Amino acid sequence: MSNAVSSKEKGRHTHEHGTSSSKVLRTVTYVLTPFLVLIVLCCIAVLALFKPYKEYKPYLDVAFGATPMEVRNLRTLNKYKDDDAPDQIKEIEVEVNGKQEKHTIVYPYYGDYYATINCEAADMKDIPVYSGTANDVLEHGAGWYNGSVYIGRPGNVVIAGHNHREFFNLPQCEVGDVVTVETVYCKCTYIVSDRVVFHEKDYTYVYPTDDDRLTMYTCWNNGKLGMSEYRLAIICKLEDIEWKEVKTEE
Amino acid sequence: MIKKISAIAAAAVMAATMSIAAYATTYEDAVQAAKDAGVQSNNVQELDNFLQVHKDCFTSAQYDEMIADLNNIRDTYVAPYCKGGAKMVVDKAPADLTEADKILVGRNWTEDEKKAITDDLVNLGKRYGVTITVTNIDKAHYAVAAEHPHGNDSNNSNSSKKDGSNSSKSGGSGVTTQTDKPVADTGAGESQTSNTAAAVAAVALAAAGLGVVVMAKKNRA
Repeated sequence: MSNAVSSKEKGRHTHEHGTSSSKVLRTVTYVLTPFLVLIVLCCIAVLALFKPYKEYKPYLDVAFGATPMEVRNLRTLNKYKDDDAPDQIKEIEVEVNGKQEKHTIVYPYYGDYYATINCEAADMKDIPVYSGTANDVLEHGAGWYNGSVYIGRPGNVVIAGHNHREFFNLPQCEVGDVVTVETVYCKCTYIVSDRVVFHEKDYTYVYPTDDDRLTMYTCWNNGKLGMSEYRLAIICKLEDIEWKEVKTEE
Repeated sequence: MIKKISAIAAAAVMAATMSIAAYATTYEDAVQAAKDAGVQSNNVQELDNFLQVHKDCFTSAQYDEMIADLNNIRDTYVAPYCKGGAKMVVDKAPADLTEADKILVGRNWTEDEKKAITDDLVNLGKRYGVTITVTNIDKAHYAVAAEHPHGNDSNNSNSSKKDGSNSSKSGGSGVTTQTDKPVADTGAGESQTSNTAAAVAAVALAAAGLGVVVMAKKNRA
């Protein structure tokens, strides 16, 4: 008898316990689910608005306070200069075949479209080169490193580019290939002379050199895309410079 | 005889004076001073690039001031770590330092010294209307951006203020040069925009999704 009672009570307790935990679980579920759904929706919204946000950020900055540099970003194609910034045109003297010649050079502002690279053998066609190698500049094209010489000037011209975009075909450059770099004031022809893989902390290949060369580099991940600590540099020797006539507005 | 010697001496003095007066300091001299001061070669090249564009914006006297400033930086912050210096880490003169030596010297600078050099450069720029921004890349490298309004370059000497500063503002300006990381980030997926925000959103999305599934299963049970 006592066993039967105790068994019945045990069952009742179990039933009561099960009921109360279910209630708690349901309550928690009813409370939590809307929040979870809200989080899911918010995350989807964040991911969806991630790219458009970059475009609208300057407008938001203007509305809610922005630095002069950010305001520039709104009203110019190149956020690193004012709309009315004058062209940086200078006459320079260069030595051609032992003779001094006068030519005109158009110096770019940081972020300006500067040159075009072509290497037929590596299927690199009209690769745009901008002045600077900041991440936002490299989002538009390859970038000329400002710590290297201007294109057409004696020394090491250094150009960087992303391995999944502009410099996707850079690894196809082989020794002996012809590379041309064309600006509004000159067209330089180079011959690929070396291929080097170097660590990102090794600045040897981006430092100024005594010889006239072009160094193009991109991330090197053993032929795969993605980030890497290593860079593949294609080093080219200058073969010829063709100076152009620069028309200036009087 | 004495008259002849005096005349020759006077002529020699005059010739020497004239040759000194005829020598005008150019931007190349300022670049050379930066090299001799032990500045990293990529930053020297950047200075060269900036001054090529703006060489007409500064007078010979202003170049002299720049050189004096660079020499002061060399003597105060570089020489002590070089041959014969109190804190010598490299047995060479500042002008003979290799790039590796320059990095070594830079790593030995105290935070106060780094700040003092940065302030000195920024103030030097201010004197001539050049906006210089220095950002630290790592312990030994700096990204330096330089911006200068062009104005009327040819009339610059007339438009300069008495204190030597040039505030000519006709026409807009822009960043002429900026050295970023010497070796840029060029891998796929590297961009300036906050990838962290996207990553956090994606993880939260996955977690919330998992939570919804678990809740749904519990409800069914």
